[in-house]
Order: sequence, then structure tokens, then C-alpha cells
Amino acid sequence: MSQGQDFRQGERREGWAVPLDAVAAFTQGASVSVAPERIEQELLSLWRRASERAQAQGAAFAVTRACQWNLIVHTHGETELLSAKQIIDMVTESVPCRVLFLHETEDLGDGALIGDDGVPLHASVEANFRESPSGRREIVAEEITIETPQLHSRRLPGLLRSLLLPDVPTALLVANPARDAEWLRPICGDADRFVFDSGKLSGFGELGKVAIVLEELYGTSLGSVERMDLGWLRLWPWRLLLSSLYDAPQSRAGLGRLREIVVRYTEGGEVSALLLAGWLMGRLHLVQTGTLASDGTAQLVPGAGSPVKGPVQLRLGLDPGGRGPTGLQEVALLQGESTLSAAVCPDGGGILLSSPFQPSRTQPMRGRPDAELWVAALGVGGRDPLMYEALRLGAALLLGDEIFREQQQPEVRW
Amino acid sequence: MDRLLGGNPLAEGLVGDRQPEPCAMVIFGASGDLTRRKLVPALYSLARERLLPSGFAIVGMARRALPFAQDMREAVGQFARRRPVDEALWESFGGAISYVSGDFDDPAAYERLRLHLHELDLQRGTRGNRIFYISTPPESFETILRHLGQAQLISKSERPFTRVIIEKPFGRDLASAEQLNRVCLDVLREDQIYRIDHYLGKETVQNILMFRFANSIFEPLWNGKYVDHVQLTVAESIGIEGRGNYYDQAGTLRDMVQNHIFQFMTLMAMEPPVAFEASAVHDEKVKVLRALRELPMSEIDRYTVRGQYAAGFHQGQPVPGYLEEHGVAPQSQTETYVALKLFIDNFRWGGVPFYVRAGKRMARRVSEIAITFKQLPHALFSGPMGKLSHEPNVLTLRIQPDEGITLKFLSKVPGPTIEPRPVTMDFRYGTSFGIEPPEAYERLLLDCMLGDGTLFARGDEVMASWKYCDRVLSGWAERDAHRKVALPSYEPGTWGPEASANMLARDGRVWRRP
Ligand SMILES: NC(=O)c1ccc[n+]([C@@H]2O[C@H](COP(=O)([O-])OP(=O)(O)OC[C@H]3O[C@@H](n4cnc5c(N)ncnc54)[C@H](OP(=O)(O)O)[C@@H]3O)[C@@H](O)[C@H]2O)c1
Repeated sequence: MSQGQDFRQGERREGWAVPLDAVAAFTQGASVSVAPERIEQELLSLWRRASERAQAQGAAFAVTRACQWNLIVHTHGETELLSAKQIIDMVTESVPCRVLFLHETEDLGDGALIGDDGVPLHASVEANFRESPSGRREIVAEEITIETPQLHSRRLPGLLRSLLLPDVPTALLVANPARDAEWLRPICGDADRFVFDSGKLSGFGELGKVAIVLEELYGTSLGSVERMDLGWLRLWPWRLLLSSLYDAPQSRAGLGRLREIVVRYTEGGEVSALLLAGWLMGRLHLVQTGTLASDGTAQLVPGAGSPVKGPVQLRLGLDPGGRGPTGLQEVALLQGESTLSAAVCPDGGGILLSSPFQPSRTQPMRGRPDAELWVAALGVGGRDPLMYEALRLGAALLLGDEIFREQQQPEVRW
Repeated sequence: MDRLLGGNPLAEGLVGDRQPEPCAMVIFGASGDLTRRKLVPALYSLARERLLPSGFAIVGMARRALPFAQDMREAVGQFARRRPVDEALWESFGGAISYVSGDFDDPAAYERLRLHLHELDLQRGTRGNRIFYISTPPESFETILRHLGQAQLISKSERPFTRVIIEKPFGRDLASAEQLNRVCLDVLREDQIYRIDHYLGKETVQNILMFRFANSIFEPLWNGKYVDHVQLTVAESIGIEGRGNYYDQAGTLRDMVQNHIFQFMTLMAMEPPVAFEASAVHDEKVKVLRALRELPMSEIDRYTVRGQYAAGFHQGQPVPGYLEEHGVAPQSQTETYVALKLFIDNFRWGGVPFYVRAGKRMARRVSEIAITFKQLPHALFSGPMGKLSHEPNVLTLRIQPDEGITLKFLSKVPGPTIEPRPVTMDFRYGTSFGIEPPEAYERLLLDCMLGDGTLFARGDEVMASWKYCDRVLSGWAERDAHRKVALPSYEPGTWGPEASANMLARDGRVWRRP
């Protein structure tokens, strides 16, 4: 297979001129087509030739490759691929990775090869360079893009495995695992961390589907495969601020009289609302007595170890004019005569915290850029067992808790 | 943990993100160089990483009237780790900065500060928690501590918390360090005192513990049975940079060895602590310092070397000698280079020399610990000239620059002959993590907000290191009083005076070229 075919040139990296050949293209960060069965060899050969050429020109072209993760990123459609590649440019600044884009597309161009299983595949490689402070060139990402109209291909799992660097953990990033779980089955066991994004789901029901798929894929084997949700990481400032309402001893003492939890969400924020409700239920040891009614209410009762003494009504409601950046507009906890709440300010620029036990204050809040969330998900932030607890409790509000009860409840360990 | 969270059920799991409790941080010496170059840029980086608490405020204090927030905006633009400044973030971060002007000697200034902090509690939710950062000339340390106590801005009670960070130098000898410590303990508990040594905030220094105690293969070799000797180097390529008045009173032993070198030497040499928490780590560090063999005064020249840099050329530029620097006494006996030979008399290190050197105007800037392993008892391989001598294995922990760890070992040169050649196995932070390590001050400020004193120096550690250095200083003073001869000089851009090389040569060893 010939090399040097240009791929989406100029759309991603600025200042990139049309290269003369594959080696020049590669060292300038452009994408180079390669034969799917020869990806690794072609990459090695490109590196070797790039070094030889530089040496011949007298340059001290020392290239070191760094890699902390094998990152398999699933994308669907051109826009998703481009946006994922832009995010990767930022992510790999701080977390060097070998990235394998698994791109689902009908539009393969002429370079695609049809395999024994009748599925066409197109592969290309590119490198993402960065200068180290000492002037040495370091590569922080090696990207391999595999495009196919059909991820169910029989040869794909083997191909992917052959491209994973040894001694480096593997993360699988799939925005919506419920969209097409079939192809995930054979490769999910190769991942050490599974990352999805509930922020990309719409409607309550989707969270339920994701929870079921995750349960099917991984069961309760919390120990072996870590699961993380970027949507959960987006909720982190809300959790932090809500918890700050309970730093005052009086507010904690009042938890015994908690009678209602209100979560108001903005258009498309249903999943965030459910996750947050799941988190509150988990932390306060509240147990559902039924599923979420069509008016968004559910009855909860205190379980073992709960600081709450009586039944609690949970109320999820849409605020059509809401402007909260994470899909949430307001969270209020009503305990006795007191209300403790965190609500998006009218100008949308911050969160107003109100409590009878502390002076009210406004806390600035920005949405976190996706790249920052990806980095967090690949770091220690990607190992939060509370996420899975919140997800299951949130999903059980929709589906009933029997669905998860058959399997052993995951143990939350610290 | 419960003390930290106060039993807040919603805070569980958030602590894992290292999020401190709300607090106000007061910086004394706000118009100074350190505030501008390091402290506020570090706080800004913490804000960027979302590591500051939800209720937070910075209050600067110094004599002159200042547009403090505006100055800090400039400083962050110039010195922050990540630039350009994120304007949206600055809006909220800059809004948390305020200033109170006043003389540190004036009780009224502390009253103004108290009222201002009270207002911030209401406006910014700082909840009465305070951190006072004393970043002033050392003459003001005691004054500030006393006034803070008198104005009841600090107290020994647990809640709300008050903590004090004290910049270096913590004393200039054992007596003055003890005196400052007494003043601290009059108004604070030991765990409220954070004696900063920014070297401990460096990733590489923290990694010494990770390297030793998270890997199974090195610790068995980490003792006198396998280690021949250890070399610790802190070399600076710069001179005294116009700070003659300060430096001539201090010297390299006080400026570098008593704090930085002794800190990382203890981390390198200590026994495994029972837990990775402040008191357990400090307990082990202090044992190392207490095990330092007392310097034999009569043999001080065999165990210590002093030097001063001469005039010459450094990196192609003409540079003045130390004695010609502004603010330096013409007959000064202050050292700009020091080398020591130390012994840690304990079970692990008995008989292993630790060679320490620190200096200015050296060939290049480098800080490292190099552990040289013992030679094999028998040379197995022979070449055309007979038995081949084996170079020892050396493990180097590079603290700065080019942070990393290197292991030197012998390998066969490819070809038909048996020829061993030293090669290195290299780990570099830059190529393994890509990630830009946080500035030392970021880590240390965050730890203080979290109430974690592991990476700060405890009182007894400081006293133990002063005790050793005091003996060296008095040995030198005695020597000078008895027979004053000019200190040996060394060429700028070299690795120190000849006497230093001789000290090792007497033991049949040589300094590494780092
Ligand atoms: N700079 C560094 O890189 C560095 C590195 C490590 C350690 N340190 C240590 O950090 C501390 C501060 O160093 P620095 O370089 O920032 O010092 P600096 O530039 O000399 O600043 C001293 C500060 O103290 C204030 N000040 C002095 N006397 C005062 C008084 N009586 N009342 C009110 N304010 C007073 C000054 O304010 P006014 O000018 O308004 O009077 C100024 O803000 C020192 O202990 C130093 O050893 C510094």
C-alpha cells in the first residue's frame, strides 16, 4: 500500500503545508495512510526514516516517545472525529498516549481494503509533536485512525490488540455505550478503564440503558475494570458546593429531619439530575420505595446507617428557562423548616449558596472543557467508586432496583 | 479524616480530590519578590487546577500602599506556569485578592487586618480559617508572630484553623533557631507551624520516597552492605546576584546545606516510616539527623572544605570574584562552596561516607543524589591486557534540571572481544509523563491548606540539622581565630576548589561530574 496520501490536511493543525512525501508529512504532524495489517511496521519505518533524514541534514533530531495510556477512542461521523482529535491534541499535552481512533463512517475514500470478513477498513497514522523545554523533540501522541462502516468486523478486535503498546494500561472511550454495544463485547475485556460520557445522553431512559450495558459488559467486577463517566466529573463542582453547605455542624444535625430533595434541571439535563439524585441517595443512605413517577417524584426511606430519620420525597423537575452549564439549575434540601440550596444565579455566571446556618454567597462556576475532563478521567479522578454507585442508584430510580439487585452490589471502598 | 470532614456525609469522596476547606491566606511581605514571583502565581495555578477551596481569599500585607490585585495580575502574566492568563478565571481569582497596608511593628495594622478578615468570612465564606504566610526578611518573623498572638489572630484552638507558614531561614544558628521556635510555640501548636523548604515541594524530592518504598528491588540494596558511598550535590551556576549583604552573613552551609541538602539526605537515608503521614515521616527523618556522627573538631579540615569563587569567566562572560561583589566584606571568610564528609552512624549506613557539596558559580546548575555501589569481589572478565577492572554501578536521582533517575551498569560492547562499557538506563519525567510538574510552591501551599505537614520541616528536624551545622561553623570560627588564612578559591565554571577533590582522593574516590 502506498504511503503519503493526505488526510484532512490543514483542518486540525495550523501552519501545516502540503508535504512532499510521507516522511515529511509525518514529521509535520499530518496523517499518512497505511495498510491496516502493516500499521506497526509502517510507523516504525516512518520513525526510522524521519531520524535518518534529519541526521543526513545534520540536525540533532532526537525524538523520544512517551506513553502512559493506550487510548481507544470511538467516534461516529466526521464532526465527532474532528472534535475528538482536537481534544486529544490538548489531552496528550499532559498525558502522552498512543491513541487508536475507531471511527465509524460510510465515507471511506479509495484507500480502504476489504478484509476476509468482507468489511472494508482504512488506516492512517499521525504523530503529535511537542518541544521539550530543553529543545528536544518529544512525541506525546502517536495516533492511529481505523475507519470502517462496520465495527462488528471479526478482524477488528485482533487488529486492535496487536496495536496496544505493552506494559501500558488501556482506556476505552465510548461516548454512548448504549448506542451500539455489540462491537464492544469482544474488546471490552482488553481495557483497564472504560470511560463514557453521560453528558452526551439525552432523556432519563438513556442512563438506564447505559447502566444495563455496563452491567452486562463488566458485571460487578469493579476491581478489574475502572469505569468513569465524564458527565459525573462535570458534576464535581455541584457536589463540592453542596457538601460545603454541610460543613456547618447545625446543618448536619438537621439532616435527621430531611423531608424533601428537589433537583431542577435545564433542557437536556435529565441525566445530570438523575446522577446527582443517585449521589445524594448513596451518601445519605436513602433507599427508593418505588420508581420515579411520571411527575418526577419518588419516595425514599432511610436505609441502614442513614443520618435521616424519616421518609423523604425526591422531586426532579425541568426548569425550561434554566442556564446552568452542567444541566442542573438548582438543588435544594428541605430539612424541618430550613432549606439549604445551591442554585444557578440569574446571570448564569455562578452558583448562589443559601443556608440558614451560613452567610449566603455566590461561587463562580465555569463549565470544564472536555479535554480537562478526559485528563481527569485518565488520572486518579477516573477511579471514583462513587460514580458507579450514583449511576446505579440513578438508573434504579427509573428501572426499579430489582434489575441490579440480582447481582451483588458493588462495594464502595476507600 | 473525620476531624477534617467533621462527619460531613456529602464530603466523602471529595477529599480524594484534595480539596481544602475554605480559608483566607494572608501574605506578610506582599510587595516582595517571593510573593510576586512564586506565591501568587502558584495560587493562581491551583485555581486553574480547581484545587482551591470554594471559599477562598488572599490578603496581602506590607508597608507601602499598593494596587496589589493589579500588580498580581501582572505578576501572574509574567510568572505563572501556564500562560497566557485565563481572563475568565482571573475575574474570579482576582476578585479574591485584597490588601491591607501597615508596618509589622504597628498593632493597629493587625486590628485592621482582623476586621478585614472578619468581613471576608461573611463575603467569601472563608469561615474563620486562616493561613498566615510570613514571607518577610527574617528580622520580622518574631515580631509578626507576637503581634498575631496579641491580636488573637492566631490561637492554639483546633477550629477554626490557624496555620503559619514561615519562610527560610529558620534561624541563623542553633540558638536563634531555638529562640524563634520558642516564639512560635508560645502562640501555636507544632502542627500549626509550617517551616517551608521549597526543595521538599519538588516532585523529584517527593519521588525519592516513592522510588524507595513503592518498589521492591532497590530497598534490599539500600544499605552499607551494597553501597560504597553517596554523593549529594547542589550546584548553582549563578553567583550571589547582588545579595552580598545577605549572603556574606549567611554562606553556603546555612543557605543550602542546613536546609535543602539535609532535607533530601534524610529522605534518601531514612528508614521506612510506618505510614505516609507527617509525624511518621518526620520521626524517621529526625532519627537520621540524630545519627550524624559528631564532627571531630581537631580534624575539621579532613571532613570539611570551604571555598570562595575567584574572578574569571563564566559561560564566556567575565564575572567578579566573591570578594569583589557588592556588599561583601573585603576580608570575608564566608564560603560560597562547601564540601562535607558525613557519616550516619546507624545500622543501615554504618561506615558509608556521605559526601556533600554545594556551591555557587559552579560549572552548571544541578542537584542530585548519586549512590555508588560496591565493586564486585572478583573481576571475572579479562581482555588483552589482563583482568578488566569493573566500574561500579551508580544510581543517580536527578532533582534538577532534567529530572529523572539513571542507573549506570556495564554492558558488553558488541563484537568479538569481551569489552565492558558503562551504559545507562534512564528514566526522565518529561518523556514518561509528558506532564509539566507543578511548581514546588503549588504543592506546598496546597498541603498547608489541607493541613498536611509531611513536606515541611518539623521543629526537632530543624534543630538537629542546626546542631550539626553549628559545630561546623564553630570549628571554622575556631580555626580562623587561631590562624586566619584566606579560603581556597576556585575558578568560576569549575566544580570547586582542589581541596575538595583531595578530600575524596584521600579515601580513594573521586567526585562525579554531574
Ligand atoms: N525571593 C526568593 O526567591 C526567595 C526564595 C526563598 C526564600 N525566600 C525568603 O522569603 C522571604 C521574603 O523574601 P523576598 O525576596 O520576597 O523579600 P523582599 O523582596 O525583600 O520583600 C520583603 C517584604 O517585606 C515587607 N516588609 C519588610 N519590613 C516590613 C515592615 N516592617 N512592615 C511591613 N512590611 C515590611 C516589604 O514591604 P515594603 O517594601 O512595603 O516595606 C516586602 O513586601 C525571606 O525570608 C527570604 O529569605 C525568598
